[in-house]
Amino acid sequence: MFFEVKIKKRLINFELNISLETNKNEYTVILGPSGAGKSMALKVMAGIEASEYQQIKIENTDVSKLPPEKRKIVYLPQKDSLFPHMNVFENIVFPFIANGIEIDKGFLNKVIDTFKIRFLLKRSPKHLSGGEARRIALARAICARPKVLLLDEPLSFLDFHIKLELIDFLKKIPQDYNISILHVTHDPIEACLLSYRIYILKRGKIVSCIKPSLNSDQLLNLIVKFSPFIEDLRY
Amino acid sequence: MQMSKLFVITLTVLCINFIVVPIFYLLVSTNPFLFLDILKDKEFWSSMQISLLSAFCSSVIGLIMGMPFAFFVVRKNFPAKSILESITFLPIVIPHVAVGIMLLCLFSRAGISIVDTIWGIIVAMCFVSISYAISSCIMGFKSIDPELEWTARSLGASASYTFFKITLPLMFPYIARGFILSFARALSEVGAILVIAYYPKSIPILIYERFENFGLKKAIPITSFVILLSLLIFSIVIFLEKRGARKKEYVF
Repeated sequence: MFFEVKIKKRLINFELNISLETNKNEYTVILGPSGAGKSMALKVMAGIEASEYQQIKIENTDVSKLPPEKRKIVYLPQKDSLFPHMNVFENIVFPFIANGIEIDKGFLNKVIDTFKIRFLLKRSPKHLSGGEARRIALARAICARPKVLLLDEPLSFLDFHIKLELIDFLKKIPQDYNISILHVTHDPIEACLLSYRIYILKRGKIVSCIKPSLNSDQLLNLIVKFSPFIEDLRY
Repeated sequence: MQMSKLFVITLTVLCINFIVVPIFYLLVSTNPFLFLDILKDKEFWSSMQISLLSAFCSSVIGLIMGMPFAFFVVRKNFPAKSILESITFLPIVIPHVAVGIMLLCLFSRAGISIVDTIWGIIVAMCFVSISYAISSCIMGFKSIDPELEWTARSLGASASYTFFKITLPLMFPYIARGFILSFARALSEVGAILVIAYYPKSIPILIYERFENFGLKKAIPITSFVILLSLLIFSIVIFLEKRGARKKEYVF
């Protein structure tokens, strides 16, 4: 397996105990209601939060003892966290400069074109729409050349059509840029539209792992199970 | 109803006047010729130099010591955190002559002579002004979403790079505010300095001395100069606060 994770973390009323794995360039989703420990799991993987036990392996190399900047795992928080004192271009090239490597213009241009953000480069993050800010945050994350990209609810608080547009962008990332994505969400439709493998997380534990395909009855069942309000669509 | 409104308005006007009128009156009652004489007074300029230099040093030292402390208080969770945070305000509540005695006591016990040296002035100023530096830094760290820092780390920036390129620029208005407030506080300190270092004479000591030896008339020109300086510092603080407030409107 390309990316293997085992985490145990105990809080006062809550225990996170998960174990999951993904293949190279695979899009994996962790689906679960809010409070299930999804974001916490990502933060532990990224090295931002400590835990009692963690074993995080990328291509059989243990990275769990490394600081966040050395893990080759980029975490994108729910808020896009664009640096407000830098313009869009400075935000995007931040990973190159922070890592002390020369800006790879070819790669940068490819990323800028993929996310269609060329016309935004000189703007300040204050003057961006929600969808634009997400695209820039994704572009910046890819410029850090991670092996694994952790996305914390990247489609939340967006209009439906912008969500669909972003899903198209997201789907391209694993193959185009050689990145495995781990995406957490509480939205089963989002999960099924994007993912090859879905882990379902409940109260800190993974209760099942599904490989949905868009036409299967299993998918429909899953959607119905998680979203009572769309049950009418079934028949 | 009408009466209570009148009552509130009267007290408000009284309060504003209580602050503004003495300043205004002193400035208009200054004899312009005596004021110009002051500008030629060598003792005044050497005191000014000492005051500005030691206030600058004490503010910088206060910020250097205060910033890690503020970081610790804001970002880390530990028992008795609130007690540690309230220690910040101790220098404000202790009477300043008592501060002078305290510091003198400690330093003479340690065998370090700070009496009548510029170091004594700096130590006294630093003690009385450090609260402002710390509390501004605390406000600064609180204003920054830790997630911004974590994102930077995750994107490959080391902890120190993140601090210098993300945290520090974002909290700069607060650092500037802390610097200016503690600078102003240090400049106005007299009680502790009177005890520790009467010489070399700093500006408040000089005003006090002129008043004691030559009376009100001689003290007024220096006082108005100092007040003008304080008003300048005050306007810089207001400007920075306004700018800081505007900067906060960023959208995620």
